[in-house]
Amino acid sequence: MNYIFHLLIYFEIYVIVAMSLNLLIGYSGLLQVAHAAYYGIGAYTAALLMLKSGFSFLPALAGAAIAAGVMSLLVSLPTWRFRGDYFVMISLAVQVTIYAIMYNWTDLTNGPYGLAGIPKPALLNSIYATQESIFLFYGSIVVLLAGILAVLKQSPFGRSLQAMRDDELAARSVGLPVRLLKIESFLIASAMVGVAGGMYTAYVSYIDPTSFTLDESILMLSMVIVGGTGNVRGPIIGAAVLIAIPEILRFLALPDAIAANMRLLVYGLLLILMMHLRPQGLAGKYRFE
Amino acid sequence: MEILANTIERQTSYSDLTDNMDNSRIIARAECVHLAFEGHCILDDVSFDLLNGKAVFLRGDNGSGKTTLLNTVSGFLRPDKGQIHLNLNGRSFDAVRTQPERLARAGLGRLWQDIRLFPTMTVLENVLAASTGLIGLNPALALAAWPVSRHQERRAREKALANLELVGMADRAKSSGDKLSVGQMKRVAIARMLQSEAELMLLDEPLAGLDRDSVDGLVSLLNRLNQEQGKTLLIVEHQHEQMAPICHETWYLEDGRLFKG
Repeated sequence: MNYIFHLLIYFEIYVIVAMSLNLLIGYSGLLQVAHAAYYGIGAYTAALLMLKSGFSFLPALAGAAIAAGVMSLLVSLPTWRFRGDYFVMISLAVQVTIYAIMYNWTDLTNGPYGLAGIPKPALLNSIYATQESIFLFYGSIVVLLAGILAVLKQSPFGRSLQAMRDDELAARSVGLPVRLLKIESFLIASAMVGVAGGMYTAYVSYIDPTSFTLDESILMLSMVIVGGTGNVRGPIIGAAVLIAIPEILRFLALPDAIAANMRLLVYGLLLILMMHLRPQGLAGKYRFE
Repeated sequence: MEILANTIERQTSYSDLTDNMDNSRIIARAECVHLAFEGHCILDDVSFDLLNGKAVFLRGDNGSGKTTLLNTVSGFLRPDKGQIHLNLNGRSFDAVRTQPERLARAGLGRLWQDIRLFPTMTVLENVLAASTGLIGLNPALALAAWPVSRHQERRAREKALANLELVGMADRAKSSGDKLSVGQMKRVAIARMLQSEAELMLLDEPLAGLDRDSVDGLVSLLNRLNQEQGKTLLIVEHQHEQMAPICHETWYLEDGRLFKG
């Protein structure tokens, strides 16, 4: 039973990750491959605030959101003009740079040895130590963030993102402030994935830079592309599918060395199949090009 | 033909100009605008005064610089030399140094040659997208002041439906933007301009690709907007016979130079 709850908690964390990335890709039309870096910033911020500054879980989560949000501003303010391939290249550079900082700033992050002994999630004085209680607690955070995204999607802000994604020039010609919209959507998506990073760090109690690599960013991107973009249910389905695949492979009793490669092979095949057979994803509304 | 440039008092100061705009209702003034691409001159010393409430028909061969002139007036292109001043809804703008989105919010509407509706949005959403004064455009306020945002949204929706009614597209409000005929798309694009309270409308070949009935309907609509709502129209078009009768003036662009007909 613990195994099932363990998977469900991972699923909850990745639902937030995929929903936040969907805000960028599906709603705003901005493809980025640095989401794991912002996730990592959230994770390290929450861990350091809890370990070194004595913050409790929720303030640490808020700190994680702020840190990831501030980093997104540092990136998006000077780069908002870049689009398409150029934007992807910049996000790739951000991913590699932030990973290198996490790996090499050993005084702060403890480098490759990581940070251990991170406190479990807690609300006020009650610490959620069991899998079931963490699942329920994290579930309420997922519902809250999904609700926020749903309200934003229905608002003029959401409609403006959609207009910007469809045709940036036309959006400018009707008076939409596309520069501000890009910066805001980046800020919200990064803050949200920062929260997911904080939730991850409190759940596993140990983090090191290998959880926030480019591979992880590509996994997150795969969740959104496989599930589908432009609505709330697509990323949820994508997260479920991509979390389920390695678990199914686990039951095939393959040797460890082969299993890891097999997982990548299946991800790759899945992406190729999706692009050919269903480019809008399993449950997507918008076909990302 | 007379070169418009000669009619402009070039030594007019900017403050005089804005006073003049208020008094003689000049909505757009270009002064000695020059623009070249890769050494090829597109706009050559172009000057004009466009009076508020007028409909102007801008003619010229392909490649004569008509679309470039519209792009320059609407702030999407910055001229190499010259000035463009706009007086939109009582506010003055230096179009050369102002972002096009700001000009659009102030009251400059643009109909693109390729229309540019938002394809994944419905007709109603396309028009609503031009409601740029809503507090819900700010994500923090969309969440914190949700009831107010919803109320504003309802009013914007009513206005959008009224604008769609005006252009004869209210019955297609729920249709997807990319499922319309060219003529219908152009009507929706005009409703989008009306939603943003455009006072000056720059229309790039509004009759292109339309059949005879659609041409008549669109010409009639543009005439109504000009005559009944006082919209100022600058229309780039090749179909002289249809467009000339509803326009007060005809301008010609030839090798980048502007002449008055």
